[in-house]
Amino acid sequence: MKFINIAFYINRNLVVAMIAVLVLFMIVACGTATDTSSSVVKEKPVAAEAKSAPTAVPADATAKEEVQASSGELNIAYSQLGPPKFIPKVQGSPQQSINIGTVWESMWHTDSGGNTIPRLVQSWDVSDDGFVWTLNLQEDVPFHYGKGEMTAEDVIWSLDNIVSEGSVSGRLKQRQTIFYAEGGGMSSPDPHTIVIDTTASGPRFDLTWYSTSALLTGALPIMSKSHVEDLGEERATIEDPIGTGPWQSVEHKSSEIWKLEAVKDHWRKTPNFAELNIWEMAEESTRIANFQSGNIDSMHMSLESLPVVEKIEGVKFISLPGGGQTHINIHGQMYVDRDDLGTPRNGELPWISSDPDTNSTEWDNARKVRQALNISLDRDLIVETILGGAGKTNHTFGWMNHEDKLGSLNETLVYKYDPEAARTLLAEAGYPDGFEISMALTTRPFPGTVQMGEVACTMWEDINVRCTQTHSPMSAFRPNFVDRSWEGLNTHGVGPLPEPLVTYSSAMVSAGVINYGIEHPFLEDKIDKAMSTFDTEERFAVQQEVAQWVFDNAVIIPMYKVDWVFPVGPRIDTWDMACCDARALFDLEYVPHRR
Amino acid sequence: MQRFLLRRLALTVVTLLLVSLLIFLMARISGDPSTLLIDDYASAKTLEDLRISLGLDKSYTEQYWIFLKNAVRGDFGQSIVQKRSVGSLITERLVATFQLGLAAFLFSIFVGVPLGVFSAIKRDSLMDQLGKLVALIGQSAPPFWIGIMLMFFFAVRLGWVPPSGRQEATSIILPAVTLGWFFVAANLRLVRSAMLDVLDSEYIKLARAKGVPRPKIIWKHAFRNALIPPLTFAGITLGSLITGSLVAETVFAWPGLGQLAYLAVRDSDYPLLQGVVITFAVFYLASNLLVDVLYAYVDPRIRFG
Amino acid sequence: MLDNVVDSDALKASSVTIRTIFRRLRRTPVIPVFLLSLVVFAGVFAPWVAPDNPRKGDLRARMAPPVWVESGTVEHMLGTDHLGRDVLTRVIYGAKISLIVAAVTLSIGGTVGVVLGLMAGWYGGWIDEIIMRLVDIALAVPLVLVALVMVVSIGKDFPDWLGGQTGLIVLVLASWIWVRFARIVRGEVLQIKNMDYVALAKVAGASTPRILAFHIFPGVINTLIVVATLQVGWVILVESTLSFLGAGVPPPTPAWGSMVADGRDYLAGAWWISTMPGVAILLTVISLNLFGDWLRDKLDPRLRQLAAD
Repeated sequence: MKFINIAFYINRNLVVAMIAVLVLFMIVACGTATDTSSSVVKEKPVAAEAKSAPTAVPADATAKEEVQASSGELNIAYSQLGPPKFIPKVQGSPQQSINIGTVWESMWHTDSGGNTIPRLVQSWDVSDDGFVWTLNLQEDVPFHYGKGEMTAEDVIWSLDNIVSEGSVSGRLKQRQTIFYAEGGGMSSPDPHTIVIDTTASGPRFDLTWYSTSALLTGALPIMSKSHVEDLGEERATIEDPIGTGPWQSVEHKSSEIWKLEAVKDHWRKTPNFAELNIWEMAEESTRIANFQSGNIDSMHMSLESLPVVEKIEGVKFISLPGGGQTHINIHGQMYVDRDDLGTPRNGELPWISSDPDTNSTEWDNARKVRQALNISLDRDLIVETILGGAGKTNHTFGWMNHEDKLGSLNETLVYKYDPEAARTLLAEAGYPDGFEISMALTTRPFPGTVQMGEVACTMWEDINVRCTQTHSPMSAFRPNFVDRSWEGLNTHGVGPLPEPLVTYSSAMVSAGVINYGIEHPFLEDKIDKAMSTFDTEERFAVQQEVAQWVFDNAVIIPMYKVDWVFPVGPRIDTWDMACCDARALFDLEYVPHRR
Repeated sequence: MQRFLLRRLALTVVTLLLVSLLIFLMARISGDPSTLLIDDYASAKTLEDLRISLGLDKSYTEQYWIFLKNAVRGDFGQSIVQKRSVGSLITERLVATFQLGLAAFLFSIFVGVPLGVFSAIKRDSLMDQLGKLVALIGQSAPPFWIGIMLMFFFAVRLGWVPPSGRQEATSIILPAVTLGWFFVAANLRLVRSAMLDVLDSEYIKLARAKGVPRPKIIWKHAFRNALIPPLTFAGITLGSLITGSLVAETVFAWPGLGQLAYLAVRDSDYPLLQGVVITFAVFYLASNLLVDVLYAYVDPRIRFG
Repeated sequence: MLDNVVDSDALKASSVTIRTIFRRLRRTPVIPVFLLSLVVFAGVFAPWVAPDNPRKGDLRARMAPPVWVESGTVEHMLGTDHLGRDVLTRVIYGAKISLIVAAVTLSIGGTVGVVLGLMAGWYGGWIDEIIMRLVDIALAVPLVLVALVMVVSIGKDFPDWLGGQTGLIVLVLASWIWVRFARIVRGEVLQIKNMDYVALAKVAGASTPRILAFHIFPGVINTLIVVATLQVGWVILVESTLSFLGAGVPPPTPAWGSMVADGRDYLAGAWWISTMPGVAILLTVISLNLFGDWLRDKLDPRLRQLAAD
């Protein structure tokens, strides 16, 4: 910016006037801000209507709700709306979640308790041997703007699309295995039935169990085949989205707003509101300002804003447990030698051993260092303060929502907070004066990911481990995941998973595209074993072994499991919301007006 | 004059090339954005296919050459993240940024000029000092901080204007003030010194001696002359306004070029980033060129040299 | 009558003195200088002056308000931030960072600018051409955007011996700021080099470096001081803008700009986290502007014209 200076005589009066104005400003500012200043230690937020008990979604898929007139405007604000991507194969976050909650529906849905309920698939039968599934689709489900009716053709087309070339879907392989098994596959004897033969893929899938996962229910919007074929993929991808959902798209302005309107006489549930506006507001302060002034009825909210938002007249909260699990990755632990990996491990670093043999002294020393890092963190304090109590500590990476399958390991796999012991460990490992380490603070859409990194660094100062921190947007850091080139730590988080194996097999093995910093022959072996069996018991037994090994060798630093908390403004009331893919608000058609 | 213009134009092209090359290299050094388009569970093949489809598997030189070839024709490629042509994204948002820039410019004129006139007439009075204080704050406070403070006072506490976005007519007020405040000081000063110069001139002294009433002197004669410098200064301001919009648009979620630039950086979206930076550079250079031409026109040495 | 005349004369004499003093005092920027020396003092003596540790905080005491607000304590006069760190301490240490960044940027940029300006002005010809073209190119680049891209791309990988990410920021800013110095110095040199005493030195056989150093440079120093003072404010503002956009001095180092950025999610509840460093920036830059103006008027009134670019 050009800098032009004011060249005129200034006298003291001016500056004195200046100071006076500023002082006045401060007094006014704090005077009016007194009622919003937060108290010192956050008490656990009293979620006015926490919906954590499993309740069935009110709408029964077969019965039609009494038709009521939709009225009013519902406004939602997210930190990211994302560009328009209205075709399955290119949808990533956050479009997946936002799209599924509004314009599209998928085959199944999840209720607020995390149970699978029917949606476009009305009912299903599984053959006695468990290999053949017969899905009965909902009848009389129209697409928006009069573009025909949903049939099996559309479902199959959507599935085809998501496994087709150019797809960025992560569940590609799994979907191909299930729906396109060699010697089996899909067929449709009539327009509302789909028969899936998974015979040739060999092992049995427990359909009910798998269907609760994002594999099938989430991220698969059912598109209109004829619509896309008529318009061409280009236009249908961007401009004219149509689906079967209770909201139809009116206008999408990238990174700004998505205007939708209620579908009249929807087959499942006509929304209570006539218009839905989804805004993108990247700044937390902007969202809160809008929420306070009533422009916004609900939004993405940082947990640290709770003290302020709580004070708004008439506000309520929806609190979903198990929204995300965070961890700090320890990079550089490359113990699988392969040709394509240009970066060999650097044994000079305190947390890395030059010897992959877990019985060697080098390994032991490196392990002690990593363990010290883990036990010098007061996770309880972090959950209490940074999360305001809306979460739990986590000591086993990837096991959120599956704690029941850990059994007794829940008690034993715990990093007890003990900075004294940590210091001893470091001294034993040969680092009595501590060491330096780099920490990349990467932002993830889960509360507190950056702060937990900053706090971890301050806690580590107690054991003489000094961090060099950098803020890093995911786009700049992600390549490090792929080429395994980072020599330090980074903050990360993932959402709920169908099982820990999903993340083990994608981020802790050499075959994974990305990697959280650890590759080891033990993991390669065990994870492979778990992937090849489809018996749930067996799978989890192996996963427990992995969990034990990961814990004992401290190859990662799990932090906490966080609840999603959404504020509910005074114009609307709480509603039953689908659980646990909470990057967006779901079931908006059920949002009621506040009486 | 011809030579001068030609030289300036040549320089403009060279600068554009350099800037585009710099951005090109920087963006690619940090890693490619295809990793951002996949999620944590994708396969290696997916990633590879994606890279090929985006043309990221070619060598840097090749990529740059392709980029140049297309850029000359006005085709900046497709945004990797948004999958639309960069050109259309930029044109969409150009209007918004122009609106904001114009509003900010007008604000700086409507505040700066009266303050300058006042300052020239009633020198060193308390009101004059307060006026200078306002101008000084605009120049010394971080613009993003001003924006945020304004948002909270006027939008949240008082509710007079919407806090962000571009949906209502009044939405433009806060961003325009945030962006334009910086230039109030310059306008104040320019107008003030111009007025003082004129007021001291022989012509005015004669008018006073003849008994022309004071207000008439000020408004009819001095003021008109005093308006010229700020308008000339406008040319310089234009470039700065466009780049300054980066911050103002981010704070107020104003959907313009500045916000687009920020998004492009955040997502390592090369084609978009290159397109936006080139657009900014073009405006910057164009406004500088304009100013140079104007000055050259006024200064005979350059005109005939 | 005569007595009165004598008395009033004496009175007038003394009141003229007092009034002159007053007028002089009004014209000197006492308060700005005072504020600036506070900033410098804080920057230099931070470890001894600051009440607390700038890097470590007490999580349980996070987001405590300043002392004059209800539930504020004297322990944290300006409150605490989202990690429980004392804001006053961080503002004091922040002065240090701002000063260092500004000082290094200006040293590098200033040196390069002065040298190039001297060369351009003295030698003229194609050297002048090249340097002026470089100036034009540097001016044509939208600085904030380019800086943002560079820091985001290579900031975290920038080698430590060059100062890490902060070093990169300094280099980027310096590579823009040399232009100001170069242009002004060049202008001065063009004026001075035709003067008699320089011609005499040339005739006497003095070598070019000697002439530049002993004859030209001293004439330029006044200008340099003024320009440098006025540019410090600019550096602080740009650095804080980069921090706001996420490309500034990395945490946990307390730089004013980063502090404002850190606090921006908490404006609704803990407004002091952003406001305090913001006020610090404001007061510092204002004082620098006022002081710089005064310096210019004292040292080189001709510069008023040059400030127009």
